[in-house]
Amino acid sequence: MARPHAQFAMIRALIQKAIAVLLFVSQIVCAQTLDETAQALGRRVAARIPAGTAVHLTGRNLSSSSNTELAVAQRAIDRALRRRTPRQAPVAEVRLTLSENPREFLLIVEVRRDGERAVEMASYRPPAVVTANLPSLERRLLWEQDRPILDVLPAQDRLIVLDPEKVTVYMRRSGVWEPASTRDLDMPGVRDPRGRLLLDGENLRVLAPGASCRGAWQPALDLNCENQPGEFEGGPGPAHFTPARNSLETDGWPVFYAYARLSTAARPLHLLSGLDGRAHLYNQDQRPLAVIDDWNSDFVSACGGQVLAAKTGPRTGLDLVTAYRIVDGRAVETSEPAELPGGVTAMWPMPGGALVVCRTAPSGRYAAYSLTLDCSR
Amino acid sequence: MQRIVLLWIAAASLLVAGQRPHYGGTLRIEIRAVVRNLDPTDIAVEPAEAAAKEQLTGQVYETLVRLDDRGEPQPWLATSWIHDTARKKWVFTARPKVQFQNGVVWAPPGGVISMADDRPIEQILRDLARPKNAVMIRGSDGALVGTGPFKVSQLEPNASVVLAAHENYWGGRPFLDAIEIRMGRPLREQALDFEMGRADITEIPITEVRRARQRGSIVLQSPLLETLAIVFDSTATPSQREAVALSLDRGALQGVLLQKWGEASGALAPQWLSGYAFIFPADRDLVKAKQLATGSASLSFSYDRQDPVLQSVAERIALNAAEAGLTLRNTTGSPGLRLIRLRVTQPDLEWTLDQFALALPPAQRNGSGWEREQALLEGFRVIPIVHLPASYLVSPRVRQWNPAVRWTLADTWLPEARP
Repeated sequence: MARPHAQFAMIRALIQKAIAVLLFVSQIVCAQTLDETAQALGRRVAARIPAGTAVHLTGRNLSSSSNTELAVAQRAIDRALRRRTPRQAPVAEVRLTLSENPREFLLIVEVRRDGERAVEMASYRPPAVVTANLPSLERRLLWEQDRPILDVLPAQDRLIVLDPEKVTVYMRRSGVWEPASTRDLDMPGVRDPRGRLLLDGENLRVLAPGASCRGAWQPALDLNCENQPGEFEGGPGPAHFTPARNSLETDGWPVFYAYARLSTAARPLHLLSGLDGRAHLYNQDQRPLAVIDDWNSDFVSACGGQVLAAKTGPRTGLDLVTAYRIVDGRAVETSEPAELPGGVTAMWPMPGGALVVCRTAPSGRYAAYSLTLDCSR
Repeated sequence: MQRIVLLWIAAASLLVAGQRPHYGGTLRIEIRAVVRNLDPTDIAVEPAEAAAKEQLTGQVYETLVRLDDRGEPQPWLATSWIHDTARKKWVFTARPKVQFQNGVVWAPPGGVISMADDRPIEQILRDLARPKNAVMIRGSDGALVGTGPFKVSQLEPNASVVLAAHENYWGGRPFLDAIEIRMGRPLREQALDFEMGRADITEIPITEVRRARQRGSIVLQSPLLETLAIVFDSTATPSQREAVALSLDRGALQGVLLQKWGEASGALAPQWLSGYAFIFPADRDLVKAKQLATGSASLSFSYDRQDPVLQSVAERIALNAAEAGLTLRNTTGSPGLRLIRLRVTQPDLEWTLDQFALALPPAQRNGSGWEREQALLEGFRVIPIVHLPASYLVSPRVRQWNPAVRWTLADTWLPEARP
């Protein structure tokens, strides 16, 4: 049995709670858009504040969303709370917090008035709720190393790896990849090195900014290299790396980082990643059709009419690769995004998908993955 | 430009030569927790056991759907799902070419699994992702057999478990041949085994992380998964409970004692998981705590004495309480209050609160996460203190291991076989 003092303390605590820390919590409601959510939330907050009370609204952003979203929500709530008040009216301090959890964004409003505290909360989720799933990209780790990987090419029982210093052919022995032969390269230094490996039967071509090599890859690596850019089919026409830069050039077209040819339309469309960091869509007559803003510089064509494109993911430092179709100049997702364990540093077409290299976080090692898409879907 | 190339070469010379992921080898892990069995339908109550069990069973048993790192349901053994026009029945398409670890092919009739369920699909998917809903069969010896990348090769309850690679795993054979997990290992013995090369991954107290890194050891940390919390039994009065809560100096505890790791908090679920943790008050009010504690009897205080972090935190809690005039006596087994660790095992708030609730005094289980957490914290029966990451010493030979909420050991590999 509780002692008298404890009973008194209990009653006092209850009274204090009732008077000083009256915490109103209402059900979390889900709405479609941020503006709708904020408006509904604003109406509920307004109902908590008696007439004749002035409102001082502040906002803060604890989420990964931009401050623009916070401003949108704050405006909507401010509209809902606007009222006529006498000059000496009591003030309610209203603090809006834009927060988030892994599934959704939260708008949390704390109202402090006369020693009381009320909390109202609402959630919203910009993307659609899961009701069905798009096809997944199949991700397979091909190679990992500390040096940057520029390109990786599986060839029969071998794996050819290009990095800024050399080409190495690995051969599988007893389940382990061992270097079979290597060729040092004397390429001009580039801050953001890029390069490609191209196989034509027994012939291997190595292309990099300001340099190219050609030769055999088996039985042993035998390459002749020269400080001349080599041409390849990587653009709207024959393309070559720009010496001492990381961009590509095709005569008659703007300089670009990446190129995808979309061949589902009667006439093919051309998608180029421009030096302005945006993807530009052109028709066959080089007439600009559309601009896509939110991709990274790397993409490739896949399954004829689709594009695999990298973009910054919601988690810091981890990029996403997603398949898209271009519909009326807009990129429409056709696969679930595949999250990579770091930022994409290279992306080249390969049968059924793409070879994607990323710098993994936090180790800083480079990893090459094949990403394949089921083209029948 | 030449300088860049030279820097490049210098950096490259310090690094290990590149390697493709290797197949083979045994990964050796040591943990403090003990697991009595690996039956995913038998839910463990003790938080450390529940957390360890989920990590282990996740390697062996799989569900139709799995939650990704953002807590979103993703196809797993079911590749897609569709509902009938009345939205009363859901039909899940089974992933083809899935085998159980004993070689039996998983072949649901017609390649689909039908479920009559009129709840929202997201709720159904979250439910299906829980370990208790894993797809499994009983083998000829009566043991449970799953479809995951590893199979149970040997289990000594409370002591050790050996997982072996599932050769015909639908997602490709894991790189490792086997994983040995030694359980119930005190931190001191884990550290010794790591130093002697007898373990590849061991736990390390948060207070040792900086020192270990200064020594050049690799220490990997999870997101904020652990919650240190005080739990009262029914003998403590409400004013005593509130007095303890208001006496806590979380800022000093996290900033000094815990060397600024983690986040001081008055919430059970960490901010990254709930989004609302900051709402719960965590401020110290010593004046009010003193008022509440006036004339209060002493309380017994228990915690795991093998855990150096809990020991340090408990001593600081007792000191804070003493400043408010409350005496906490360190005892074991007596009623009063306990300092415990709770652990997030899935990136899902509802799941986490369900798991936490097993170790906490009974409270309502309905409503939103916020409402449920409020109910659990009502009356100061539970007082959250701080959210911490889990920290691990990792051998340099371990590749592709990430102490995320859920371990994906199928991707982990070792560059060379252990001698």
